[in-house]
Amino acid sequence: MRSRCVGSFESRGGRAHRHLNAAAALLVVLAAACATPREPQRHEVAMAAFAFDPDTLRVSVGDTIVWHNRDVVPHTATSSDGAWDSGAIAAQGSWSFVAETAGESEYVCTLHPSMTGVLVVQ
Amino acid sequence: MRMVRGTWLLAALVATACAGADSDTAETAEQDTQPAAEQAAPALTDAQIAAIVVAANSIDVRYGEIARERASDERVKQFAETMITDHTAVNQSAGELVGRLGVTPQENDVSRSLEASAADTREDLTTKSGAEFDRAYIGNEVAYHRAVLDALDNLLIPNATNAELKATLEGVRPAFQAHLEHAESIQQALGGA
Repeated sequence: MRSRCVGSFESRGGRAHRHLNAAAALLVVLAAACATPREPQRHEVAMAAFAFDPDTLRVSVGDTIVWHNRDVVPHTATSSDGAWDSGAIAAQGSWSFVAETAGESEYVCTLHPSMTGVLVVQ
Repeated sequence: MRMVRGTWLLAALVATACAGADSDTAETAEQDTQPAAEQAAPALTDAQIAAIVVAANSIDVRYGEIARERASDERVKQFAETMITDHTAVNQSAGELVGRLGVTPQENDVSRSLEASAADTREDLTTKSGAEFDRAYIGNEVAYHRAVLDALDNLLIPNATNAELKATLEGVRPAFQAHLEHAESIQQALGGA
């Protein structure tokens, strides 16, 4: 394609047109790259010493978040707006959740309300 | 809110133990010339500390069992269930540790006094009902957890000699702190102080 284009453009003396073509080709490549679906990622939140770690987590839609209870007592991860609720997670147990909707959620352990966290889904 | 007798006793025992561990100037000067082995021993042994921890957890489980039956406010009932669950679990975890360490909990004046005072508190709680019970139970929980935290910080953790036991005591502290904050929020909601 380049030889055809170069032949026809150079015949018009169009170096600028060659640059324009290269830029257009680059844009096509970039657009293709952006259109490639991002692989969902997995994120971990520890429930330890009666706190969520990290206490603020940023993820993307489609990502999975796993809460691991490292304490000897049960905890929950419950969104303040009622959208999601782990129920009681036993000591050394875990619970996972796929973030399907963008937004910011405050959440709490309903058994120990001083344990709070924020989940940001982008 | 008047602290029940048991929590005052715990606080007094902590203060006494801390005062006993301190030395006045003359004693300090004298002790400085003594070999380290002859200087004052810790106020409590690991075995005694283990017994106090077991007693402290067991006491709150029993308070919770009373509240589970007598509380009228749903938040108080749920709090009581959490206390039963959590302090049972902490006791189980502590029991596994001391078993692994070969430490047998040794009853002592502190643990016996706690148990005796707790019996008085339980009797007092069972005379109450409705909102009066709720306020009395939660008020006791606030005072009790404050006293236990004080004991952990000023008596139990400093006197623990086994590293694992010390780490376990430090590890359970967040539980008592979370319980205290939860009890305080319920107390405020009930209009108590």
